[in-house]
Amino acid sequence: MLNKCFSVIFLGYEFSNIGLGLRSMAKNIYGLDVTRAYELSWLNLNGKPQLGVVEIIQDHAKSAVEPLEPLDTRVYKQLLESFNNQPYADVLTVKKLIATNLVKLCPSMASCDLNIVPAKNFADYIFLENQTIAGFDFIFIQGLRFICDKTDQPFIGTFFLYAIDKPNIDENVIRDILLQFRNIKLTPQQFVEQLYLEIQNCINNNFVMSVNLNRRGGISYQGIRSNHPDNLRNFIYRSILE
Amino acid sequence: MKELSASLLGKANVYLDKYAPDLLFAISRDGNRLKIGIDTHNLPFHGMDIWNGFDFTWLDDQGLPHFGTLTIFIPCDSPNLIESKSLKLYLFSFANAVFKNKTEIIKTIENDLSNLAGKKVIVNYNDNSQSFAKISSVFPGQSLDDLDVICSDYEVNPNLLIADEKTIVAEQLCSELLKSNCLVTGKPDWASVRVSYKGPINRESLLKYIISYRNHQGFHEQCIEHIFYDILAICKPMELSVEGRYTRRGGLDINPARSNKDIKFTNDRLYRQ
Repeated sequence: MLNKCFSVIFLGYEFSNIGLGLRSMAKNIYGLDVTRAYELSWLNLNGKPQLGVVEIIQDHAKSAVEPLEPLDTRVYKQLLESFNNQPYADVLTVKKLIATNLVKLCPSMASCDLNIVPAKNFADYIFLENQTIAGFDFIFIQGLRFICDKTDQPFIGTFFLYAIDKPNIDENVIRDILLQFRNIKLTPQQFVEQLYLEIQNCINNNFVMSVNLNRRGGISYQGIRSNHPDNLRNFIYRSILE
Repeated sequence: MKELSASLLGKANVYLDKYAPDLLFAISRDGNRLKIGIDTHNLPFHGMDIWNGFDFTWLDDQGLPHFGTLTIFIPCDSPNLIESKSLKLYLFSFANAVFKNKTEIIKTIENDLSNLAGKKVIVNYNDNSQSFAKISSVFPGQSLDDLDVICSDYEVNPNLLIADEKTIVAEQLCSELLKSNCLVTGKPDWASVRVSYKGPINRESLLKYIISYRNHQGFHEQCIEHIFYDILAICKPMELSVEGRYTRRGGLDINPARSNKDIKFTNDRLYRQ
């Protein structure tokens, strides 16, 4: 068991601009970025409002761009709002339009999976905290915090760490690592990847971590990273506070 | 009472690093009530605005961060409501502020909000989030949303409401399709609404009326009161409760509830919250 094993970490903006540097430092890094938008609405051809939740999955393994260009959620939100008072024949039409426009805004979206979940079905989703993933034990810590590099608004979220058998890291070590980020300005992806590096330095076994950020503007983000490529989609769940 | 234009709504956010109760901004409830036609000295309802906070964090005197979820109960007969962006920024100002324990936190927030609202505000603080883990898919009750209606009114139109006077029932009707826009910024707000009543309300008319809020600008509390008042005035039910559950803004969701019946309001999180 390691107690304190993290180094001074805030290389921050340098890393943000040279994702390649980050990748080369990481021994192995596999991951998914999941964006959930809870407030999609459009009109059917009778003018009656329809609802949906949009889930976008960016798979780093599928991307030709290294690193994946993150989705600008403010622009994404504006795109979704543009559907509010427009009539469409069906949800497939809406889905195609969102996908087409997303690629224009962010070319790396061409390789993403986009799904519109009917609002009622989303109610059946299980929270990650209450989900058992076969073969893994996990710990989770709520209340992680860092600052948005664009707006200065805090991001708040939940950190999950999974490993076969128990994650061999002291929970207090994780809390200390998270505390270091509390007032630091980062994008969500920078936060996830810097955190991954810190965790990777402290843990010996195969692990999966998930950072689930509470929503802002009706959009939430889940960053999944692992030193092992298998079955990461098993971890795609929203957290209780997301 | 300051003018709404003096609030932080629609302006650049300032996130302060220390506890800042001066960020809070009060809005008189009377203004909008008078516009709707509600007698502010003799309210036709009692009720509560229930706020849930998902992003609350503070430091103890060892410098260790704590995280908790908040539920805030503001009675609807308080003279003022709290402007939501100001409450968001106020709660964020606790993040690097030092407090002894959560009892002190609760007392501080209750005092600050009670002073501003003009009536006693109750705050619940939870160390763990399991109280928010239980989600109802939709409001219990009969959903209106599968009704096949044709809609073209997206500005509030009480004339859409119809009382089916031959049919007097006691029932709960719900819809996920309430949308309105912020009074100041014009940004969309999304809600589920439940109407519990005893009386004659035509279901299709109620759904069309709810949908007619789509481009209306109003604060959450005002919209729910407006719905209550119009239904009461036009359909004249013997008993009426209207509850709204809005999606989050700034880490806070607002859930106004109004009734002329002696009922206890619940705080059951819905799937979009």
